[in-house]
Amino acid sequence: MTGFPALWLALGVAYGAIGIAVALRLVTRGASRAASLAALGCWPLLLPLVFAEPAPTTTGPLGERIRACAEDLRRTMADPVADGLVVVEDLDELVADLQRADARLGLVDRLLADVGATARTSAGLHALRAARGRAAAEVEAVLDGMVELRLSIGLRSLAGNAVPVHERLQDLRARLGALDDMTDLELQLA
Amino acid sequence: MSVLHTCAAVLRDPKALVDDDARRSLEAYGPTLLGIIVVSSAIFGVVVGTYRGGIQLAFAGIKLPLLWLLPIVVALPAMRALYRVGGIAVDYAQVGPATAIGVARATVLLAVASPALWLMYSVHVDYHLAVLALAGSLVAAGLLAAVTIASVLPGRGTGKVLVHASAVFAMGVVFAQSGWVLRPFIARPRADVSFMRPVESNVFDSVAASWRSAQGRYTGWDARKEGLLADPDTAERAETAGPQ
Amino acid sequence: MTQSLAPVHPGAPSPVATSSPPRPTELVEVPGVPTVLLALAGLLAFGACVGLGTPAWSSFTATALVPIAGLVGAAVLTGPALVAGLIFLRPDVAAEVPVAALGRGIAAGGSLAAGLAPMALFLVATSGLWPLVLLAGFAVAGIGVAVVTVRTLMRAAGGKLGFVAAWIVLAVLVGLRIAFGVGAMAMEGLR
Repeated sequence: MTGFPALWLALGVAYGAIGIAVALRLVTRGASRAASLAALGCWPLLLPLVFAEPAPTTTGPLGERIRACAEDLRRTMADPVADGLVVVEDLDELVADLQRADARLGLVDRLLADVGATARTSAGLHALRAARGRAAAEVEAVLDGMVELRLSIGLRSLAGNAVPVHERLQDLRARLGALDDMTDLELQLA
Repeated sequence: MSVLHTCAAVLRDPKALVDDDARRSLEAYGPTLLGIIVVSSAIFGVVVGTYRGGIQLAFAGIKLPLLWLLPIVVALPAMRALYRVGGIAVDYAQVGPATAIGVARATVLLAVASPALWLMYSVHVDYHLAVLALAGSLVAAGLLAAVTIASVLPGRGTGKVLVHASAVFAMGVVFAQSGWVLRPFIARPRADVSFMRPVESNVFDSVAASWRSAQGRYTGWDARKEGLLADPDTAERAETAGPQ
Repeated sequence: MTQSLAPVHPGAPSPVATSSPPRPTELVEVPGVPTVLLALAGLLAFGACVGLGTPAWSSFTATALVPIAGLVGAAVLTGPALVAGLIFLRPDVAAEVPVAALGRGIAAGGSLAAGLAPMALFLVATSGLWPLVLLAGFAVAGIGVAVVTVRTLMRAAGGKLGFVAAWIVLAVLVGLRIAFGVGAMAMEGLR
């Protein structure tokens, strides 16, 4: 080693310490062992995995449609004509919210299948079915909103007008958030 | 996906490795791509080390992977910022895999082409010719990596080309300076072998001096010890004690 | 988010599907204080990284302040001219539009500077190129501010913006003047 050994050492130790911290964080988040090991030496590359929200382990009835809608919207936003739509994180957050809502629908579906077989006349069961229907409809409405947004981007390319993509994605997220609030309210009333 | 299949995808269809969910592709392929980069460039490094032989085989085998990984680590934030400001909708998680794919493609091809370089070095070509062959290989591989990165990321059109060019230029600057800092890769046959030379001057001054020499203007070149990591005992220092 | 939400029940129409086409001047959101502070931190981080390469502590502070002083100074000194000029020349453009455009420009410049900071640290650590790195980084961040500001204005206000071109020239000259003033202090510290 040539040069300024203390400074070389300090920089090396700092880089290594951050690498260890990132690797440990990845381990706790359930990332693959290879990713954690790679983070020891090349943590700046794998840093996004530390901040990524863990994907739901189960999917619900709308999982496939959510994936398709997100993929289509991503492709539209990445199109050269859709210039300047730098809202990748917004879309990621919305998709994560949708996946969580879908996972909850999946849980309710499994519950209804299990409990419904033995307690067909329960009032709670009816309430759960009704709430499930409303929640599913709301998630589908948000998915329809994503399709509408794609169409708006297409219109923008014709009219040369700007589309507030960020604001619209935030609106859709807020709508999903309102679904949670409504469920809370129903639980309190039940 | 096995390492072999990842290598095949890197060479045939790099876009296939970029999932719509950037974080998922980063987790799925990132470690494999890094492994491919390290192994391929280490193979190339060992071949480069055969020019001098001995311990230089190990030194070059260690330093070549560092040469390719340093730009990924150092220039990634700058590339991402340039893409964002340039209006290309990519996030940090997308730029990382794209860069790793580009570099992996370049290093795999370098490793594949290394027997040709070994053949050349085995007949004891002139030192300057050996250096030129190495530099030429690295520049060609670097350009291939740049084109691959631009092709994997979204964004086409005249304005976007400028953004891709600036991002790749940022990476190229770090790559060039890394090569200068990590030298020597090819040691002179009778010179003492060292892992790294002292931190001094920079790659651009060195290229300018080489250019002058190539034109027959041998003005000499005083490579001054400069930079935060330069040896304080020998570096030129201001009278006031400074951050260096 | 100030927009009211549609009723949350299955039959309710989607807010996206039913909202009227947005007017151009409604489309620009003024960046929040955290965004601006982050941008300033990015500019400062870049300056500090370059400043570490200077051979004397006396020039470190001045060098670290060059990017933030140049870009923010130019925005503060010439921003009112942009706002007043657009209000006067384009009555159809909301007063928030130039403010938001400038804010987005500063945010973009800050994120560029923050992204360039690791690269700057690497270059000043391994070479004596700190003046060149400072100039290049300042120029790139400045171009980022100008491009994003003009692009936002063009999208939100549309039409011919000859006035904006004149403003850009003024802002560049003011920014350079401030940067060279602070840079001269850095060089003074080296003597």
